[in-house]
Amino acid sequence: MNDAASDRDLVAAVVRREPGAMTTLFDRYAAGLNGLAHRIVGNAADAEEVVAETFAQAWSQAGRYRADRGSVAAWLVTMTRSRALDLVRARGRRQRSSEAVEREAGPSDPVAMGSPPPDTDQRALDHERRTRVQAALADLPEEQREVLVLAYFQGLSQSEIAERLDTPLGTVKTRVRLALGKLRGALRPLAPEATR
Amino acid sequence: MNDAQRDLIAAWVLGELSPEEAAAFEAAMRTDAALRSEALAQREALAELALAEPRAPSRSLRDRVLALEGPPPGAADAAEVIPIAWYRRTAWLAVAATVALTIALAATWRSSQRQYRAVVAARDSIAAELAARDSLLAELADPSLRTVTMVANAPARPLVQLMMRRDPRRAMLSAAALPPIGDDQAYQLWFVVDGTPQPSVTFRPGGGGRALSLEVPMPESGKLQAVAVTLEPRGGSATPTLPVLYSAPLGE
Repeated sequence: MNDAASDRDLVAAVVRREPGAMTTLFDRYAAGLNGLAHRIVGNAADAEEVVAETFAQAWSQAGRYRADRGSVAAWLVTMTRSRALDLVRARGRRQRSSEAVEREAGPSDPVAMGSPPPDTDQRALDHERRTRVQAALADLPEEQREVLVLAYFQGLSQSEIAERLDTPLGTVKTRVRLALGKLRGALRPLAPEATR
Repeated sequence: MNDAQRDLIAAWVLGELSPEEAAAFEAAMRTDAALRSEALAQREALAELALAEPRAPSRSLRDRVLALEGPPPGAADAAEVIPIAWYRRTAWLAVAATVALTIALAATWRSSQRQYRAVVAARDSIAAELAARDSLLAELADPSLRTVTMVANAPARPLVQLMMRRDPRRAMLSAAALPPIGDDQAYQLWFVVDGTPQPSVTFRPGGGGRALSLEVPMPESGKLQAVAVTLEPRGGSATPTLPVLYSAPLGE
């Protein structure tokens, strides 16, 4: 994750409408947010719509960002996840459609052309993050990983998870609690202080 | 920290709390350092999890987001999307002016009945226009209204926005800094439905390259996949003339 102070300065620059601030924010987080959105909604077009709306919200509400409630990354992720889950719920689907057909853009499609590749530092950061997260998830017992994925990426409440897995609610709560605690411990070095 | 607190933290970071519950929890966080530290750390850890599988955004998405910053310095007049505050001030000033005029004329009614009737007719006309504007304001303030911004595929940075409602399907179009075009030409809006472009309104830029269309017909059925704008002969075309000048995916 980028330096927390740098991110806060960047959001402040967005508030002041400094030229290039939004560009930097986008280049820093769009790929990660797009990946999150895609994992939730299941197709590229909807994922990009979610990301576009997230950045539009960030643009209009940058002045409302508060560092004492979390990092800029967490702020953006929360907005993206919320919008993506809302979209899925609006469609009436309750689970990620892994069978969804990807909308492939052909060369004549003017709305889908490649974005500039991430710079070297961003690629290195992305790789480090992916490695650590995969290791952290691999260390979780399967039942804890399962409830975490259902809760976070499919937006199921713990009650809904209990019903789906035919497992007592108390057991689900315990698994979620333990999973989050372990994840927090495993990813501690990457998580910057959210407050100063 | 006990299990109940940890369960509450889990509910907060997973977004399961109602707005009131979340506000109460965040208030508790401000006074309980241990609670705050754990909750924020879990939120950050989940953010790391969320960002772990990046997926490169398309150029059109990048252009669309960066268009939020508006045209670069030195470009034509800044984009002016329908200024709601200006409308509201003008609407209320017009109402106040109308009321004041009516009261003044009523005091001299005996000596100028014909003039009074003419003013009443003008007042009714203004009231009808205000009602139409209020309807427009209600449309714009509707939380279900969705705004889609199209970005130019050419080097220039005009701004074309489509404000759409899903139910019923209605839309308004606003554009600014459009390049000038010939007298025999017009921009035309297209909805791409199930892979096929369907023609919609044509529009020509006025002062400052602005254009506004308050009633944009939308396809009644079908999957709306994208919107696009092309340059056509003045009366419009049945099929689009490439290249596409502005576009945005709708992703239905």
